[in-house]
Amino acid sequence: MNVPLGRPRLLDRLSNQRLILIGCSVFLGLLFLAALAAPWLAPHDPYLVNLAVKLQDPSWTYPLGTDHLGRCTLSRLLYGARVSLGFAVLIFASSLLIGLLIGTLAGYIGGWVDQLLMRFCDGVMAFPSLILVLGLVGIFGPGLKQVIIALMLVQWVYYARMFRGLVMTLKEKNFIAAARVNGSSHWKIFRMHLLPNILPPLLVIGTLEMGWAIMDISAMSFLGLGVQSPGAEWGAMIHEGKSYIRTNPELMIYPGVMIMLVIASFNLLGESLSERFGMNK
Amino acid sequence: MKPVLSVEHLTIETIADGQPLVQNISFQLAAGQITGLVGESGCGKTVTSLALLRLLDEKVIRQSGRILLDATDLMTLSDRTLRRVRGGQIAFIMQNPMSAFTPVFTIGHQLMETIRTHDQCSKREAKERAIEALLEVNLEQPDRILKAYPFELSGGMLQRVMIALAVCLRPHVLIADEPTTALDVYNQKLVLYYLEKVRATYDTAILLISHDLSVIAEMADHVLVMREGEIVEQADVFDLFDRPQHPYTRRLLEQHGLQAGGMNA
Repeated sequence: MNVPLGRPRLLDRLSNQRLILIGCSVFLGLLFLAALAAPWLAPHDPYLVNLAVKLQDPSWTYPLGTDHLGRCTLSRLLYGARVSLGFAVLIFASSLLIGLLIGTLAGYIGGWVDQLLMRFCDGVMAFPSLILVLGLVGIFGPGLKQVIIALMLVQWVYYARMFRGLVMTLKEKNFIAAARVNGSSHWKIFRMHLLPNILPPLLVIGTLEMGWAIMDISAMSFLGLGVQSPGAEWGAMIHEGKSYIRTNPELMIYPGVMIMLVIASFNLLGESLSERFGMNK
Repeated sequence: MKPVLSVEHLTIETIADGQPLVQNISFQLAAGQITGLVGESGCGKTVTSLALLRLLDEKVIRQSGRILLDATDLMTLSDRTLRRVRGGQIAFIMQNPMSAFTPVFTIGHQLMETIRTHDQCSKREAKERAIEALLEVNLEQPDRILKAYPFELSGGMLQRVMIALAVCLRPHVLIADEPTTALDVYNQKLVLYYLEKVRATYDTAILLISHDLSVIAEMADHVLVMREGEIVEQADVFDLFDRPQHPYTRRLLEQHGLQAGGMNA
């Protein structure tokens, strides 16, 4: 008996979806690299104030011009990417981890544990997340660290909800029963059977949520609650540029465009991934 | 014959409204014997089989009685000890082979994991045992099957893999819950052939659950007839088909076009 064990070719055809997937991945990958390499790529110190060259137009020395304190806009954008992307990853990873843990517990154990955890989630979800973050930052006081903690505390709820649903459908599957029948422990079932099977949706939600995390950090910084002056961060840059909106709108446009591009990329990436995995988000 | 597994007064009911699913059933499984469990859908066959391993959700369902494996009562064991029994001493073959394997890992990975859950051995050793087990159910090119994902194999092959998996740990008891229902006739025959082989080779006590009387007639030594959660008749396979005692058994046989005495043994 011959077993046909052909694997589908990874790149059997280059469809539109695939182009988006590759394009967004490349863009985001380059951006991450640029953020990492900011100290070497940036033409100037992003914090160096030089009032002699303030509000300059783009030139060879200052590729994107300078801001109201004569700081190099390009350098600030690059350093800002570090904050935006880096902390978005941090928020994403930590809220994902908390959400994964609590959601899986609730879904797998069920009963009153599930009820308790989910009612708490309902409570958190009853408020718009930005309002809740604002409230928490109001309690903790402004600052990047506080904003990040507040975002983590709010965001995990959405992950928990999602993972609970996934785990609940998965745990009724035959292979989970088969694993139990074969004497697998709960931890092993989680590790071997649940986790690997929720990875694809996790990837999709992850990419979509990254966009939101960047948006949230920028929004908080724009409101003056996150990154404080003179820190370089996209939202904070828009905040600082808004006084010059009539004379030098590019101070707001550059970081604004960056935020838009990054969030759009993450969203498109998430969409095309979900298409790839045959999921309807 | 000395029973390997004896079930005494097993009763299963829902906690919420005390509705009985299985009422006070007793039976024994003997080494080297195939015991058939027949009955219509919903009569409690699968619930009984799951109860033997205490796999029913204890938050929803209460079970009482005794399940004696050799001398230990499975009802008294802790979850940790039970896990060693599940898959180790009592193996289980499930109804639907296509969905009984985790889709994201290779067959080999899953076989080796299960072997290593129960026996301390190296990866290499587990692999050798997995290959050996696959050869035993005549699956050719076992190293290719080990590298395959579940979706790459047919239902019949997966069911044979499941038998291989169940048997490679040399269980004393093998519970096969409708092992042929999802398969075509050719694969049904194969699966039954290997079950018979397992019984003959390892002297395993097999509980074969089926609603297909012809399968039971062909395979079983002893038959339990179940109806609405009760065992209405248990008898030797020849007696049951030739001289059914209970009216329900008679009706069941008639429905299958097997009139009493119509079986040429």
